[in-house]
Amino acid sequence: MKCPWLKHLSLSLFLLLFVQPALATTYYVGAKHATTRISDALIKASDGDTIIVSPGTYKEGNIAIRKSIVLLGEGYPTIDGMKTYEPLSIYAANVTIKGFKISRSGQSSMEDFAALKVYNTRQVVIEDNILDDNFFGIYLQNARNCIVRGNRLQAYGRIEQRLGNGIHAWKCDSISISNNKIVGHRDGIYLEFVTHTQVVDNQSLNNLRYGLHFMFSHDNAYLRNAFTKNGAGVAVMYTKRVLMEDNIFNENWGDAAYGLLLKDITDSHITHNHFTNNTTAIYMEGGIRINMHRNNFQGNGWAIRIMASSTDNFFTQNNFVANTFDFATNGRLQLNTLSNNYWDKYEGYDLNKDAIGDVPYRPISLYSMVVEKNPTAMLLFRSFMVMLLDRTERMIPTLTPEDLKDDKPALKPFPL
Amino acid sequence: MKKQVQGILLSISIIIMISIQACAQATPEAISYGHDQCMHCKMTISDARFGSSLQTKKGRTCKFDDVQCMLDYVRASHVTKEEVAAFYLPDYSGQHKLFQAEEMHLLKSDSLRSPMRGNMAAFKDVAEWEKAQDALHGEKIYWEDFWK
Repeated sequence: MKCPWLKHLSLSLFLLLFVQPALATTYYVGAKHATTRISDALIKASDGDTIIVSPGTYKEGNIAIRKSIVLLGEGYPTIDGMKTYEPLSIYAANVTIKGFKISRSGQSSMEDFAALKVYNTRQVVIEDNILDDNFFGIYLQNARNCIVRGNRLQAYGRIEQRLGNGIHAWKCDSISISNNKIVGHRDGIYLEFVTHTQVVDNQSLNNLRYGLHFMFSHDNAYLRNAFTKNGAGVAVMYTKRVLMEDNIFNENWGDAAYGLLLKDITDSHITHNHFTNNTTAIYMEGGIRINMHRNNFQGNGWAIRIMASSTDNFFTQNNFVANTFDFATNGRLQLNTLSNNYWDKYEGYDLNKDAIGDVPYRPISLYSMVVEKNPTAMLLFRSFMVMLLDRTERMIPTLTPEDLKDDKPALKPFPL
Repeated sequence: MKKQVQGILLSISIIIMISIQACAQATPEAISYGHDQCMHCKMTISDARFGSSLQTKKGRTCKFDDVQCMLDYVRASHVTKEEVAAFYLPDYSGQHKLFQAEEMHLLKSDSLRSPMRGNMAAFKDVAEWEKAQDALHGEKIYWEDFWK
């Protein structure tokens, strides 16, 4: 008996032999190869191909990538924008750019030139590149599911000139920004209308304005980053559901500089961060339902300045060590909760030996209220009269908010 | 002797006249970019193309990083319109000097991308205004319209 399906099967197997898998081709670009320009290789390549670029300097004006390719640099070949062009523009999905030095992008007051700009696409990987002396560094515009990893960015702008941000994302979703180092831009990392994004293990130093700056960007997480010596620290504005964990905010000095500036933030968590040597570690205006837990505030002018517009915030198990002022506010009514924090200025006692002070601690000194209203009064700080006033106020609170106190001050700092 | 006294009186009166002139013609206080803070949004003012300021009748200067912040600040009645002696806007083209808002020609365009997304630019020169409108596909707006 014959099996009719067997015939069909053998036929299909036979036909399968003629089906060629779409093999990805690799193109080589460089002085020693047939193709000397990256743009020429891009014309030849099709989706899924790889282009490997040899060391050298490539001055090709604007290189536009409109195919899904992998562009690899060997020994950091330089793509030079000659201060006129945008060196790399990516319009296609599934593109990888790895191992390049991209330098000297154009500069304009009308257009936002970047070293590398991603336009309205998805799944782009930008990895292990050196960006030097560009206007904007990496610019993601309307992008989804992209990875920006292990890049080093350096710019040399001064404040009088116009300067772009290091990593700039606008209207993006699900971006991963990790292990980058950004130096000398306007804002190190800038996110606007960006959602579901992770910013992890980055270093942002010596940027002219903010180390990290985000506005209208909900449901994002910022973990293990270091923000050091930036013009004005980190600014988080008009945002919901932020998670900030294990970051370092330090050395942000100046009248308008903050370790962390929070403006109109709701339902967020700020935990396990270190705030060291800032003029103001945290400035909060319009903060609602923020949970601050186990942060370390050390050596700041003000550890926390909280404006009266902030409500329902919880401060628990934080360490306040060697700050000039631990807490300052501008209002009399307080709707925030402080509990079980460690304050090095606490002078109470613990008779029942449960490691919790028996008398509450009031972190707001009278003089911090005075300075809040009249900053120049700072001149008289640490004078005998001021100390006397502060002491009196501690015993009989009249001007400072009565409710703002820690009922369970910890006697030992929390290990962080 | 008499001549000497006359000379001194003359020079004093000239000095007084000059100083009165200087008072009458209010000049905007310069914004220190990268240091000054916006009164409204608390951000550091860093972009000279959009840094604005107002001066109250009592002589206090409030600085902003975006025209939008200045408008919001006044609308929220931190300072009322009646208390303001002058509003100053930067010239988008050229050296970004501050001029009184009434002398300026305004343009709104989303491609301006100002710090707080007010996306408004001001031009002293009408030709520059027209040029920018073509380049940025902007919409001409008028300062008076904000106060209606």
